[in-house]
Amino acid sequence: MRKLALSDEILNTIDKPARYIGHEVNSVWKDPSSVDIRFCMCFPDVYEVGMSHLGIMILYDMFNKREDTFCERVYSPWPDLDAIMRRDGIPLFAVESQDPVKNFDFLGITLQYEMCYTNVLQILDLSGIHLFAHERGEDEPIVIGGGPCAYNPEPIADFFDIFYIGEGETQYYELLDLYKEHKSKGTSRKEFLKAAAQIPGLYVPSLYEVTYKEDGTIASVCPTEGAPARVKRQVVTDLSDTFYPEKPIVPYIKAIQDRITLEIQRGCIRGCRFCQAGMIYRPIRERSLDFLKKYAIDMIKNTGYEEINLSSLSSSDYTKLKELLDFLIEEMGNRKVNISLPSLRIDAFALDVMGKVQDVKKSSVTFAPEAGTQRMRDVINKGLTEEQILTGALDAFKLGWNKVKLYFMLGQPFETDEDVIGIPVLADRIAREYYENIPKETRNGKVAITISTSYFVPKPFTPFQWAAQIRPDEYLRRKSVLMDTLRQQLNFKSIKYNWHDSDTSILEGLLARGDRRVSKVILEAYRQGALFDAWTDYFDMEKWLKALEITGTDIDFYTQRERSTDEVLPWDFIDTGVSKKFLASEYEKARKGVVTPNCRQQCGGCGCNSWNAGVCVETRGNLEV
Amino acid sequence: MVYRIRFAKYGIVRYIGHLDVMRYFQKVVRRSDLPVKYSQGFTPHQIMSFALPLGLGITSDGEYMEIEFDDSVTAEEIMTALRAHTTEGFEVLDICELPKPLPNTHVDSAMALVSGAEYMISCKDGYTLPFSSEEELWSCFKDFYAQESIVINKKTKKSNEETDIKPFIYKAYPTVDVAFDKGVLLGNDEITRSFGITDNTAHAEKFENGLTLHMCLSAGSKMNVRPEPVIEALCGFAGAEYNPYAFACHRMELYMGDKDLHGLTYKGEINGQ
Repeated sequence: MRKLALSDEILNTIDKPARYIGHEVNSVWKDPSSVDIRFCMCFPDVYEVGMSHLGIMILYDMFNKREDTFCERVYSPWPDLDAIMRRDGIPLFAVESQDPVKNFDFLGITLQYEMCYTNVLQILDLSGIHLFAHERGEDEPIVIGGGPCAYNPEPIADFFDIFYIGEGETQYYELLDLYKEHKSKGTSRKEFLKAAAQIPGLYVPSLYEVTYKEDGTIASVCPTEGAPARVKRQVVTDLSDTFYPEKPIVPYIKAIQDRITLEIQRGCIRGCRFCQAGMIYRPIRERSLDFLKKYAIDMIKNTGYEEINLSSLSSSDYTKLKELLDFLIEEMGNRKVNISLPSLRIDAFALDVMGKVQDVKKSSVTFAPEAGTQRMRDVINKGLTEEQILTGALDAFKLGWNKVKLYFMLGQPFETDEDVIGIPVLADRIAREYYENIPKETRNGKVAITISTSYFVPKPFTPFQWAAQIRPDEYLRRKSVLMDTLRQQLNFKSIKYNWHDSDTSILEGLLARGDRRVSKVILEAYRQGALFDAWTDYFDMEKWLKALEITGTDIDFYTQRERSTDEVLPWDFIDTGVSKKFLASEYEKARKGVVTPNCRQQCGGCGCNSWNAGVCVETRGNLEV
Repeated sequence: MVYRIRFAKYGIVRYIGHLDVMRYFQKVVRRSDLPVKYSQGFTPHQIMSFALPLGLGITSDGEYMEIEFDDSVTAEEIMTALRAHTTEGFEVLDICELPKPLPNTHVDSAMALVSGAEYMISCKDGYTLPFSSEEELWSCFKDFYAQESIVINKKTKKSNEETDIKPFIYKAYPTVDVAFDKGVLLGNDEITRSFGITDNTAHAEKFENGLTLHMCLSAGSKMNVRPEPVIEALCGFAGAEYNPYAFACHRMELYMGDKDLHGLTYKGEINGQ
């Protein structure tokens, strides 16, 4: 057993010491002196959140399959330990070897949501790594970032040496080989980064010069030292012939997702206009039935988990869902393993399956209309009609469900008060379906409908990337309109309303569409003590407001401004495969309320058929959509 | 068939709490593919229970759990399978088949039976201690125990009670080799106790200074006395400041019985007694 980095005294004082001791079931051990490359993977949030993330498990397994590499993990120390580490000068360490992170060759940080940026600085700071990439010495780890936020890396570009744009399974081995070569030759960090920029999908911020116009928008983004003008997003074309962890690490303490995650497919055919995931993971690519069956069994056998979760953006669109579920219901039933099935469109098939795997009395049926009227749903291209919702809800009620969750957003482009009013009206219609059609004797009490609204944040690489985010007071006004309308509904006693916090959303807006100059705001907020911003208990808007003031940054410039389609956006240098022209035309269609069919109905010409993969090469027209 | 299984918990995993230990073993059993019995109902769970929770930070050679398996598997097969799927820090040491209850009777689970627990307290290296030798430590403890009563503050969620724990310190002795020497075995004369196991400090952390103290304390649902308050009271008696981090605790064994305690490692007697 390796010696722990933290003393008994510290471990006995802090909350959940198991976060920092490693040695979990299926964690890897190699003698660090026997490998050429030491890689430290980081999820910049607390252990229980990080251990739920599939991406790190895939890369951890992928890197450790190489004999010359030992990949370990690190997570954000909770504030109690953070304070102790600063007080006692204890450097941040990886959990497997308990060795300091600054001794590693690479520090890879996954960027899943913008509110974790101050935690990224915490990781660098506690590791003793220079926060600014340009200050790092030859011996400091190469700091590389990946994940959805890497699609606009500019606000944190100053802190990273490299960004990996896209799916990690494709180019990491190339990068590690290149590193090994450079290390053995003893070439400089600068030389290595210059060579790394030549690998497709890798973005080395230090090699790009950004200039600004007088009005504050970007004048140009110029590559230097032979770096490519555009960085092409990486895509795994065959998801059935790639890395996947058969032995995911099993934490000792309960992770947020305390189950096996089986990613059944990547991408989505629906093309909802607000959705960044739908755009950056195109085209939809399925994993084969054999692949999924094999991994489902292996992962359950190797971990002993009691639940398996089928993960994808829209599981109903997996063409072999019925066969997969028939297999899993039987196999998992025999092993007393529960099946979790989110992201299902509610129809007869889904209800039948859900009835088999869930306790109908305790679980709820979820719809995500995202908008309250058909007109607005057409604007955002969410192909869900009121009839489908009401029919689905009634079918669910007849089978015994009486809990419904409804997800909406407020503040999407072209939204009017009429659309906001449509939300509680729709909820009330669902309640009426229940009371009018389910006889009193068979009812299991009142129907419980919950409406949730989040505050829309326009994201890069979506048709709405040019839109203005509505002001916080406007969001709150619309929320009040919704609440007032709700109180007037016949069945308002059966309907609950939760709304998302406005402060975090406006900050998310700054960080999602910010440029390089935003890095100083993040740094100042961190210096003011901002940390764990994704946690309501720790988020403090005051620190961010102070940071904006001290750095003289106008948040409205980034969030409230409607951009013209001519403007150079900070993320334009990335080629996601979906053309800017397509996004602009989708924005125009939204303005007119015109729907775009899904990928299986008709190809929309977005441009990602350049990969010749997934749905782009399926024969269309013979599937029920 | 219900089996009582003894296991050790040591090293790094002493920082894993009781609930997580339970979840850990549920997964071990699943990985081992053993035919464990499940409860009835919509959310079936494994028929598994643990004798007595172990405090965070304490190591042990005397942890017990009871699991019901299908009759198709033998004790040896269970041991082998469990040992193959446990990881560093947890070691399955012993297994006993519990008898099936006679008609109209029932076998109490270990949880219900536990009445005592034996601990080894070690002084850690690198701390200023109130005792510089084993003789000094034991001499101090003898004087401490000679008091009429030993009162501590027992904090519960609802109250802050003062309790005399002297009658609940069943046995105490300095080192294991003198345990049975009547001259050095202190304790409540009404209680007799016999060891269930002998390798009961195999997985304890050993320190250079070698100062140890052993105590059998009342445990379980009726009256649970943890070792730490006893040591705190001892330090108070010695006029020294109590530093909780200066001492390591190791649980050696669990006991059942009323006045006549014997170790939980079941040796083939009937009906759980």
